[in-house]
Amino acid sequence: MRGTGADYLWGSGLGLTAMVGALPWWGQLLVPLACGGAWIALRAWRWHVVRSRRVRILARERMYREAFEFSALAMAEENPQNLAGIAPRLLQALCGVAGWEGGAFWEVYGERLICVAWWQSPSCPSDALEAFSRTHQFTKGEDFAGRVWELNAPLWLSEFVGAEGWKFPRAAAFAEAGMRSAYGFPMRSGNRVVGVLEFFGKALRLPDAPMEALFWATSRQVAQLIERRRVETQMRCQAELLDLSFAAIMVWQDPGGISYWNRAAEKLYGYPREEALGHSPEDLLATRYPEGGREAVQAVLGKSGVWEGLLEHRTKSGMLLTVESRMVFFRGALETAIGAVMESNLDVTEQRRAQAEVLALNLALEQRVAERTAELEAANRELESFSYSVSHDLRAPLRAITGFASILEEETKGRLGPEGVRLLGVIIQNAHRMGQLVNDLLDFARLSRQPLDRRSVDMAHLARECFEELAPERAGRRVDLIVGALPACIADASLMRQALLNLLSNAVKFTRVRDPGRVEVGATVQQGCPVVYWVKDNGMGFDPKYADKLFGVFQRLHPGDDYEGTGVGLAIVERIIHRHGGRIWGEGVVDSGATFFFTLEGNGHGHGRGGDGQPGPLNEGVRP
Amino acid sequence: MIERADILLVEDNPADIELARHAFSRCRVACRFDVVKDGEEALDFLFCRGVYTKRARVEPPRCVLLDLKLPKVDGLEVLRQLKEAPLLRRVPVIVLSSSSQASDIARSYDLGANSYLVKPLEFGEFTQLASDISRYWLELNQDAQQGMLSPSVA
Repeated sequence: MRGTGADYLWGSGLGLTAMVGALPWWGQLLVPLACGGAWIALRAWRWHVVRSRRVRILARERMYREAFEFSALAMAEENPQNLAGIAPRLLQALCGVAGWEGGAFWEVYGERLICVAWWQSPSCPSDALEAFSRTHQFTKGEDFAGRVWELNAPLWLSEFVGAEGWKFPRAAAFAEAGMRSAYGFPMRSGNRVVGVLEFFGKALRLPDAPMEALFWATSRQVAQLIERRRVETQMRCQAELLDLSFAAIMVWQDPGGISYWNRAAEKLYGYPREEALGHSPEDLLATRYPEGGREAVQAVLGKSGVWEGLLEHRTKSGMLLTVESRMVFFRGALETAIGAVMESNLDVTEQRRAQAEVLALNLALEQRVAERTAELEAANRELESFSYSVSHDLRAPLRAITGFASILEEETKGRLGPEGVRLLGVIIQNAHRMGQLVNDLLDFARLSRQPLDRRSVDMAHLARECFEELAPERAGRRVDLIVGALPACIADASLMRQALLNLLSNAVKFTRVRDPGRVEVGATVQQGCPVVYWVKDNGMGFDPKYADKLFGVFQRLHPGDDYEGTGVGLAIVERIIHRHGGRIWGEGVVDSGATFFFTLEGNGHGHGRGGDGQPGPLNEGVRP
Repeated sequence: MIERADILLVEDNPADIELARHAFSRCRVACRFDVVKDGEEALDFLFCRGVYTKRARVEPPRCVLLDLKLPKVDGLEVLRQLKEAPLLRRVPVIVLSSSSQASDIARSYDLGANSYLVKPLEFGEFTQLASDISRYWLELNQDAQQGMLSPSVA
């Protein structure tokens, strides 16, 4: 329709002027009249031209307005999720206004620009271009659309096909489709480009100012729409995440009740969302609060905004649950939840039950341990008081026996015959012996209570010292001491001295039949095994079949007449060695000497606890 | 006339009492002996209470020979009360016990015992000990109550 009416009128005007000169007089006379008419006609024509221009402009304005209103309405009314659905209509409207043959709608997804909508005029198919555009993604600066993204400003290209420096991926497709110009427009949310509108046409068209204004307005709106959709998507995702949560999550207000109830809550409590909404959780779940009750929870919540603790809830089916609850007070993220509480609950019923069981078991165990300890302590006390009584009560009569025997001996001097004196002597001697037994027994009992004071002990030095101490016992005869290479040990020095003293005392005692007596102290060191110390004598030995009786309390293998002693000495040695974590064993042959071996560690390291399994080389050294 | 004791023997075992008498009677240093048979009696004696009220006119003994294991009030308690009493704490206390337990020895000295002796088993040794005690505490040592008036007069 454009321009056709004006051309016609213009053509009629020329015809009138050419005709004037060729007219007769009457005709000439008519000229002014005609001129007047022509003038009128001209006026009419000009009026018409102006009017038609105005009509054209008005029509265009109307189109702009329509396009604008359409896009605005479309965007205001449409669901933002359906952006791709309304985008083609928007493109069509804008193309109609600006006279483009087609357009594309690009959206920014992360680092990529993706073509999400396309419109093209039916008169100008460009399917190859569309297919190419839809199947390619562009980074910032790549291709025409990417370039608009990067520039963040409108970009107009004409005759770009073949132009140097404008070789972009879709250029060939544009050329094939016969496009000669393109116009790209960024869609901004704030200053961030969220998408690009792209138009192309067969004519060279530069958009004028009103058109550009229209594009700006439209793009802003579309950008808002995209942003809105992004937020909505995000929120929906978050809501879905809450649904995926293992914790039962609810949002409630007081008053107002539950406004959010996630899937885990449905599952845990058995109430579907629609049944839960609107109820107060307290009523719905028959909440039982910990000590201090509801008020205490509210006080903490009001003060710090967070409450954590255990609650008891009843499910729809009536089951009682213990939940680990966390309530957070939050203000106004969602309009429905102003001043609301988000409560997330984890079912710990099973866990608590197991814990309670473990606790009960532990308590019972502790109680049993305490009982046993008390029993042991009582037994220990009893033992202690027993030793005390033994020391006190047994000694008193002994003292009386020896004392009165002595007094009797003194006061009846001369009157008592030699036999009487001898008998008194026997009484005194036996009382003495019993005193010794009591003392040894007490020493032995004391051993197990005394704490160990471990330090490095020079065993060779200690052996010589003990041997010196035994000088009275070897008075009047020759006993040789041979001390081999003895490694130092970590032990309680005073207990070690007691052990060595007893062993050497035994050795000295039982070599009485030899002249000279010989006592050897040595050690066997083997890689990977504890050091084995030994004390060997050439005394009268013992019958190996009694080897297991060596270390018993009051056990004696020789008659007391021949060898004095209470039979506690070796028992003491064994206890000392055991307390150090070592072991002791003896080897002997009647009349061929005895050897006592001991270790101070490795109880159970390669050897049994009994007398078997002695290291081989030592056996050979001992047996005759 | 009540005489002042040189030694107060606190001992419940009659045999031990008799042995002590014998042992001290053989000593070169003569000493006057008083005997009480339990802790309560010992305290009555020393604090001049009960049947011993009349002793208030007499000075406390030169020294106390104290057994630890006693009926009623035990030796350590006697020792404690004695050493806490302002007028009696100077009286030397010699613990004479059959116990050689470290705990007994330590507690006795902690409570202020002046000496700790273990009763010997052999009578000969006991006689020797009695003679040493009388020589050391009665002859060599100065009397703790020297120049002091008896408690009741003070």
